[in-house]
Amino acid sequence: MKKVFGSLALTLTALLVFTGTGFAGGTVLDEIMAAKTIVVSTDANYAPQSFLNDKGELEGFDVSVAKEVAKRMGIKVKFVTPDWDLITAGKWGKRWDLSIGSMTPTKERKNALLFTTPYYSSPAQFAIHKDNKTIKTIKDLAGKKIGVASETTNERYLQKDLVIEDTKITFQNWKAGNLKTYPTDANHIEDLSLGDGLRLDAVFSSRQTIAEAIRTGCGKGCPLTMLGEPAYFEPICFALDKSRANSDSLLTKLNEVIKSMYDDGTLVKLSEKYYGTNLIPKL
Amino acid sequence: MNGDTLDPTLSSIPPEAERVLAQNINQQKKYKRKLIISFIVLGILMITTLIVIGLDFKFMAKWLPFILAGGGYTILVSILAISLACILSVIGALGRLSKNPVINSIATAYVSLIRGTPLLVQIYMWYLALPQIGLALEGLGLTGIQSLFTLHAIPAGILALGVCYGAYMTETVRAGIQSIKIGQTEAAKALGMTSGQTMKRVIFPQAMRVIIPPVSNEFIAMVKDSAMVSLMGVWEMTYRAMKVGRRHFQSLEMLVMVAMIYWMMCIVLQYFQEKIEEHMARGDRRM
Repeated sequence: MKKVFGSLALTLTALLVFTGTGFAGGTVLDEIMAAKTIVVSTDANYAPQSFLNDKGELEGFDVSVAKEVAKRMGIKVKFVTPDWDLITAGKWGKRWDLSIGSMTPTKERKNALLFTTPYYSSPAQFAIHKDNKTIKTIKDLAGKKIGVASETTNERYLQKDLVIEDTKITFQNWKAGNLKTYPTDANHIEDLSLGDGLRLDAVFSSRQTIAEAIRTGCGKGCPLTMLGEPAYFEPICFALDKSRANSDSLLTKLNEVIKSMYDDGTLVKLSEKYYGTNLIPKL
Repeated sequence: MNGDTLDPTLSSIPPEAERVLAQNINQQKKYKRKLIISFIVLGILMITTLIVIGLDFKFMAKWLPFILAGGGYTILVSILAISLACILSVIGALGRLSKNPVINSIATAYVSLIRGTPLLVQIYMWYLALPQIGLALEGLGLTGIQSLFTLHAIPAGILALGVCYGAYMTETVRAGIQSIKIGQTEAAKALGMTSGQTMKRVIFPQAMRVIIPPVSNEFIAMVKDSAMVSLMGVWEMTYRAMKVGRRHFQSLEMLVMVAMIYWMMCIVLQYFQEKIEEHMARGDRRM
């Protein structure tokens, strides 16, 4: 208990200090370097990108990338975990500096956020319940109930309304019978695991998340199988708050850091550690 | 007083009445016993249901300490928010009863607006809209004001809960003040007290007796509504339960567990509420 209140007292003092700072008119990079800490937001709903490990600490591909970025900038990293909608909405008001949360740079998000060069590429994958005998190919999903996380690129893809610059996307030529949206991917995977056709016939998520669910989820592996090849690959970037003035210096610095992580093979190593496969595109 | 009438209870109650009394006591005992048995049966039924639906108890036990560690935030947010709500409700109630049209309209609008909008929306407003106001003010030339308006998750949550419950409690406090008979005010006036003195020394101490039980009720409700600050990334109990559940694709186990923890907390609070109520009702019983 003492420890809890100690950390609370610390947070409260930190708040007071925070409200006192930020009067300097320098660039965002200067502010961060002066504070010696970069505050990174991440969405801890997605294993193995970002999740709570057995000790209740943040872990995952995104978390490791964030730590590496801070290390290369010679500063400390601090994580915050706001709701996904609060991250994509932009206008963070300096509550955090950077989002490393497997975000795709869509056209709409670019209105509120700035994006770095991609740090990996994520395959989007359909999956069905393993007891299902009738759905053989992706085309068989026409008219079925499909679960998808709301405000994600996967939802946009199924609505045939997804635009990502420099990425070619072929939409499916069929329509889902019922597109059911969920707060996050774990919810629809659990719903499909309840039984074939009970609430859902299929889910659409990132291949990594589905692979993790099949491997360790639902107690002893969720009863799902992947269906067909990935529908598309999306570039994944860091995001910055567009409404914060003088962010260019930070963006340039982050792109340099990402380049150096490509060059010495760090990203490939992390991808193989967390995803079991190389999801890093050739530059 | 001689030896025969030493025990007044024995001598003053006729034997027929005594039999009825004993019967009553017996019935009460039986009722209590049956009540306890019913509760035990209900408890067993609940536990069996949980076992039948196949919950992973090992998984739940493993994560229990981690979830419980979030209880500190739940209690901190609730206590600070109820304190804020108490202050706001007294100010609000005095405003609602005020004869000054400006003050009265502000208090009425506050209650109407806050009671008329969902708490969830209000929480997003405190978190998202305030920095926007700050930005707009900065545009008007007040440099540096935005950082004051950009609240972090915990203060934003405390403000949202405190302001919301303050509006509901304003009506409780107002009703409490109005429940005191006009004669009290008149008597105070006859003694030469000003209206401020009347409120402070005569009306309010009596109104407190009416107000405090419903306020402790509101506090119990608030402990559960504090779960909503998890939206902003505060690692309180609900947040921890949701994230662990999603990580292992076993949300049901975690939700059942966190529900049980809230329930236990509320049982403890309910006990204190009953004690407070008894304490507050003492005056009535003596009369």
